[in-house]
Amino acid sequence: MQVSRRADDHEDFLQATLRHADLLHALALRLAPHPADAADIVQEAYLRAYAAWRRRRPDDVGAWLATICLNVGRDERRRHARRSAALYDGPVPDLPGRADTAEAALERLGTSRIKAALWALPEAQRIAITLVDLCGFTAAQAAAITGAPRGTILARVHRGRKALALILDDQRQPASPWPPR
Amino acid sequence: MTHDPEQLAAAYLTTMRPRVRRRFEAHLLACEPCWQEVLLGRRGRQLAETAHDVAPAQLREDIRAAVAAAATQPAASPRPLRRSLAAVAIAVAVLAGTAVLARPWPHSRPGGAAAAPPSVMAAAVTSYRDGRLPGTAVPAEPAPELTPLHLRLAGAAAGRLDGVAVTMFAYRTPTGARLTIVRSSQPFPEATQARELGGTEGAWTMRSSGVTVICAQGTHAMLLLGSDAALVRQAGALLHAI
Repeated sequence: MQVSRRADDHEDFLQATLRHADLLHALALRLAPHPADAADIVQEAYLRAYAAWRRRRPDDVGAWLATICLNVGRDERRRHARRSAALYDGPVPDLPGRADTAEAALERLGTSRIKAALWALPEAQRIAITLVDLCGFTAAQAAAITGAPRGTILARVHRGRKALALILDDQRQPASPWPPR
Repeated sequence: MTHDPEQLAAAYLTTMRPRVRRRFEAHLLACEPCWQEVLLGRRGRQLAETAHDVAPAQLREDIRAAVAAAATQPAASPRPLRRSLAAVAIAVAVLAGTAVLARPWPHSRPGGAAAAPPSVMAAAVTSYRDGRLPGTAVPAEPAPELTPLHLRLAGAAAGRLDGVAVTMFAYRTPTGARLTIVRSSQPFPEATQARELGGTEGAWTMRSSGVTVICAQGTHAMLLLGSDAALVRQAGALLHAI
């Protein structure tokens, strides 16, 4: 009886939460530079969420999952910061595959530059941009997820966007054909 | 009029009531600093939105499997389940320990060596998750060849895992998937949650904390570990471990 209730529980949980997997993955990618580590963060977030789901059903499932994911990501980073002999350091470059057309390859390299620029932002701005622009949360939801005031989230998102535009537009500036005076 | 262009542009681009929005749009026509703020903010938002990623299809399967496995565990304490690595390591060690007590090693042991202690499995999973090698010594044996799966050697070392002498090879694909091979002259203990793999005698698989493990017992005992279950299976097949 209890086993079947638990089976129902976990089916209910997956039905309510799996559609947010993309959102959590996008967030985890901004917390861990490597896709494989991001997948680990998402899985761990789902396991923590499932443990909590057995006691309480949240009203806003997406925001609730994002909060858990953010905490898992922070825990992971603390753990990584402590380890002494790291084997995998730094993200693997996002290289075009053999099957890519020239246009797709250029597009992918462009995207990888944007992703790299996101990593150049201060963490608070990177997370605020991810929550609002990539995950689609409102400023109020992002404030609830991060625990920062709504006005602070607005400022972080805006400053992050400006920084992103400036970083990438600087990279696009062609070299001047004229020698400096 | 004193105003903060950054604050106004931030609100305008994220959330602003229609009446305030119309007023601000009228103001934009005459205020260059606000106009520049809005332009930069818009450009940044457009760039940020192109960095959208779709989760790999395998991720959903992994989540399903991990949650299904968690559903079989007793829902114990009213406090949140703390899944620190240490707790996972202890849990795997206890399970593996129970397995060894309950079911003695069922297959022939490579080289007649004594079985490794059960906690070596937990140490292997932790080592994979941490991306750490068990030591710094150069391995005496060559790394298994996994290039047909686009797996390139990222590191290798001989050392000790929970007191057991092992050689570890760490691989990575260009897209970032990781796989680790652990070899030892001692057989690895079989965990209680292990499932036998058809085809090769003594080969089994389990999943712990998001990591798929395949264990094969040939002339050497070998563990293959990775978050991508399909990749671990393909590597096992390529090495004739399963």
